[in-house]
Amino acid sequence: MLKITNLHASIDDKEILKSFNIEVKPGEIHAIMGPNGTGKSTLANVITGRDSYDISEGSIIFKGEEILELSPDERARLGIFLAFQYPVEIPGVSTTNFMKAAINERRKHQGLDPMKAAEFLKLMKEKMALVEIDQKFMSRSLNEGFSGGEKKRNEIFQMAMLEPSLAILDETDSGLDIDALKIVSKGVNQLRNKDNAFIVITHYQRLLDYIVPDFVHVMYDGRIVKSGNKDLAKELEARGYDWIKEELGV
Amino acid sequence: MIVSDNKYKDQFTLLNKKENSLEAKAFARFEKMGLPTRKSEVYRYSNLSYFKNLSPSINGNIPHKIPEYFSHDYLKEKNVLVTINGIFSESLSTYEEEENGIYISCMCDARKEFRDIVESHYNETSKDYPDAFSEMNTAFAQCGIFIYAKKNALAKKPILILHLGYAQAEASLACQRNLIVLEENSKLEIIEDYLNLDEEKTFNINHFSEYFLKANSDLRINIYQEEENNFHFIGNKFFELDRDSRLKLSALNFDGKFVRNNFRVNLNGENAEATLNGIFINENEDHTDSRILVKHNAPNCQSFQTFKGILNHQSTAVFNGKVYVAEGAQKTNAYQSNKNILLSEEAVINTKPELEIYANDVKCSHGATCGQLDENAIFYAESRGIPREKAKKLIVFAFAQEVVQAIDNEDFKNFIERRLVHQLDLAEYSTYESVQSGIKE
Ligand SMILES: Nc1ncnc2c1ncn2[C@@H]1O[C@H](COP(=O)(O)OP(=O)(O)O)[C@@H](O)[C@H]1O
Ligand SMILES: [Mg+2]
Repeated sequence: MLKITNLHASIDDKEILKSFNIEVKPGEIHAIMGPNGTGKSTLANVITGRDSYDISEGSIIFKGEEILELSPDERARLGIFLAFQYPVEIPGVSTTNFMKAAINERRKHQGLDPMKAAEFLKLMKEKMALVEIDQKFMSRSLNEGFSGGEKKRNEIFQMAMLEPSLAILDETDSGLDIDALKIVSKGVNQLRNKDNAFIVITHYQRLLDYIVPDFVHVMYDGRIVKSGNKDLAKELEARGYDWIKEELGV
Repeated sequence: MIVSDNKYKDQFTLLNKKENSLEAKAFARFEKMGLPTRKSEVYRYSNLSYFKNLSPSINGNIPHKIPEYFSHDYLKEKNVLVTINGIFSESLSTYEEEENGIYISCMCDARKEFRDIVESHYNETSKDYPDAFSEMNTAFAQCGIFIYAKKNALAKKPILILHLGYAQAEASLACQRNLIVLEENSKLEIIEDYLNLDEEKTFNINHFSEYFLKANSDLRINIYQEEENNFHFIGNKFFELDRDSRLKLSALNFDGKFVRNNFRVNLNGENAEATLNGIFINENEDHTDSRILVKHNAPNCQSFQTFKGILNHQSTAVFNGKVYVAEGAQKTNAYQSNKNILLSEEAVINTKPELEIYANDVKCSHGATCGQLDENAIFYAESRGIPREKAKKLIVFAFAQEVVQAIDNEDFKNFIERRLVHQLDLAEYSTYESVQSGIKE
């Protein structure tokens, strides 16, 4: 589904991703862990298509297609979704309108008519129930005045609406209490099937008790330095990152 | 074109006004002042050279026939007052002369039929701040609109004032003049709309309205100004608010070639409250200039100003909002905000919020921002599959919502929403309302 090879990305002449490699197959969940500032969000942004990065080398193949030249909206319509670490507030646009625009853009590109209001409404209600979001949030401005937890749940709600093939969750668990964490995890697990995949970026192994990964990667200084199964996450939790640095000799 | 240096004098002589008349005095003041130059602080960023070539019209050229003007939804079931080239047209208007204590007439009749009221109010607002255009207006005023709400009168329906331009004589300036008086406890809503029916011709207006809000009266005004081209507007709206009265004004400007709105509000009695909101959306070489002065002359008054600018291409705009708190106007609560989005490198906004405070126990806040669209917000929308250009428009639409949603006339609000959707080419997203209201159920 996704194959990233030798990816180098920099911003303002500062190299952040340094020969990053990963392969994600349908049905898999990959967890990426690593200290702050190692480039996890950069990776998520680069896959999603944010154009403020300079890609000097490498490739990102998604569903067999090189996507580096595609715009973010094109990538989204191919099935890539990012749950933002810091969801953006857009005063004046309701979540409903935002989702309607997103869904209908995709339908337009599939040659379909806009979704009927009733059908859309039904879909909204169903997905809201999934992440236990109160309906009143839907007519409020997108993320404006939402608590941290509400914003993250709203990201998962949007993911559920758009049913991506590849969802990247960038620290969706940060700042969530245990109940919210369970709700978010439930959302992910219900969406999970053999055809889609998840990249879960997190600091804490506790999320991985609920969203059980097939692979755990440790990212450090712009690339993956160690990979393993879910036990690696437990080890990181117990021992921190210093032993990895020692192993690397830095 | 040859313009006589004495064109104003020549025109004024033709009016045959008595030597000591209000008009003659106003003309004398106007002559002394002359049209403002760029040196004048209040017109610094607005080039008036176009207006220098115009002469005030005095002959009242009402065309006999006009094409049918399109009807907005919000026209239905309302009193509709039409001015054409600045002159009140009875034949084009549909209204009740008296309904629920609200009286409507042309200014010329009002001078006879409401003599006392006219004499005690007409031109009374222009005293403390001399302004060349309001003086010119007083000297050359065409027969405008008079609205009088008697004590306790509650208007059942809004009054729509349609200012139409049609076949206006070349290089002329219509001095359009109105007087609106609300007696104690009365309530009135006015919508003003400007439309040039003859796009080949220019439509030039020097508008001056005076509003008196007596104790506990309530006035709402929604102003819609739009022209593809050829609309040149200088407007003065002066308000006098007595105790416990409320004014709420929304001014929506789309594509004005040259629009200057000068709003001046005097809060003269305790607990008076004024809200002034506005949006200006400029393209190409459009220019809008919003100048607002709110004077807190009495304690315990509130004022709120929210103005938003959206500028594209080489368009320009000026926002100059001032809150003045007089000595003794304690417990004043004043808020003022002007936010602008520049959609191009060439667009220019000059914004200057000002506070001048002579009382010590007040709550005043003001701020202005000016920026490009938020790249984070654009990327967020793009990442959901919305193409960049659409994403930008969606965010501009959102930016305007604070002002649009504050319009408290539902029909007019819906009209403005649709107008925005059209302006931003977001038609495919415009079925939102039904979905939203569905969700709320
Ligand atoms: N817009 C930017 N401009 C300059 N430096 C940036 C920018 N965004 C991120 N960085 C830098 O890139 C590095 C990686 O950041 P980030 O990808 O956010 O890390 P992580 O998500 O792993 O905490 C950090 O050193 C950060 O300071
Ligand atoms: Mg991060």
